[in-house]
Amino acid sequence: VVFSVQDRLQVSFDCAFTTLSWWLAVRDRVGKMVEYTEEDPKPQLEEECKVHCVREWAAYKACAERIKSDTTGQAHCSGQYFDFWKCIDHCAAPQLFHHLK
Amino acid sequence: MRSSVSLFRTLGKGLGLCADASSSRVAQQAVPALSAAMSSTASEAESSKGAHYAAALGGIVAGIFGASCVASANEVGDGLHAPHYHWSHDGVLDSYDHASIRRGHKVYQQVCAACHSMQYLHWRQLVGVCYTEEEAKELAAETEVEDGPNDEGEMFTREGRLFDAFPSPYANEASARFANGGAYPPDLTLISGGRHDGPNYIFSLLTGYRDPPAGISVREGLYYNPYFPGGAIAMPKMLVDGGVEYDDGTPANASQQAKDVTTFLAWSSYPYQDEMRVMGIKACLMISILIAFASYSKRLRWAPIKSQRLVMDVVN
Repeated sequence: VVFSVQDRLQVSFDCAFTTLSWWLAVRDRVGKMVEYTEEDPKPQLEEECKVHCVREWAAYKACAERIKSDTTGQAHCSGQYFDFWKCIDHCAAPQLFHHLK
Repeated sequence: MRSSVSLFRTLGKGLGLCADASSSRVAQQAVPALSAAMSSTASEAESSKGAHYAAALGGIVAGIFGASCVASANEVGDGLHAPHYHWSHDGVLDSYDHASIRRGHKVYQQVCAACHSMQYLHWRQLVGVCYTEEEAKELAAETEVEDGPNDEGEMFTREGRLFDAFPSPYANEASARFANGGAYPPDLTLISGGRHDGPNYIFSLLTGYRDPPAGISVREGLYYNPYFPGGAIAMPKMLVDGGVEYDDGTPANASQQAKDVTTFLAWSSYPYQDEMRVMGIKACLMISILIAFASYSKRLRWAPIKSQRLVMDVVN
């Protein structure tokens, strides 16, 4: 296989571009001066983490639907609720203290 | 026995056969399916006793994997497991954030001291940790202490001094329970050591007030908090954004207040942690030097014995 000059240029450019964007992303996150806000960062972090916990949220919602028709009063969705919040906690907890002094 | 159970649990987790509570609900169908699969493949090979034993063994092994990691039926009773936050005093060589201890004491004083005592902590213990001697004296002097009897045989009240303990909001436990609907606000001096994974638990508790799950309701006078064992706690959500104003200008949102008061409580429960860590560094250094000397000395004295040679020779 013979690579043309255009191909080599293309590959080099792609590599350089990828490396540069990676470096910019890292640079923007490392050593960032965090503004400590009066507003609590925890609820915002939990909202952002909900994206990663859709399966547990769906399970909880399904359970809530199921027990709507329950008449015994004993049915509850604590299990699914715990699973969901455990997922959120494990996502949000490592990040929270970076926003606190 | 315990180690073999945890070994199975680790293997099970590694093989994806189980997780603690989360996917065991989803995967609980997997365990009987797996044991059925193992027994069916074993019995397909040959219908002999060996195959039956293999099937039984497969079932037992799958059962052990499954049973060792089934969701605890009491997970609500134990409370939601608190996640691990990155405390600045976590590492073996890290000290407490003393600015945080100072802010945390302010939060305790303004928010928590109304109900929670810290009767085993004294003003003098704050000197050099988060306040200067003058500051601690001033803070102590703002409190009133009952002392006595005086020369006339009467009890009297005086200003607090450095050797006094923190004032308690209630005279005794019965009084505390009466004022709080039967619930006793525990003394906070040693609470961080007195609860499993203290700092993470306390922080999660303080910031974890949420709506209860579907099907759960707590009675009037109690509040839902998933981290509290049982879920129904008598303390309402106390930390609100801007509830306390910090002297150093730190924005006092609820999470910041919780972090600071938790650091203060962690210090209160283990005030000598910083000293112990310094001593630990010295000890490790000293021990490694001594090990070096001891190794050299041992090998020097053993040299003749290690270089002995025994020769087996024929008699005659």
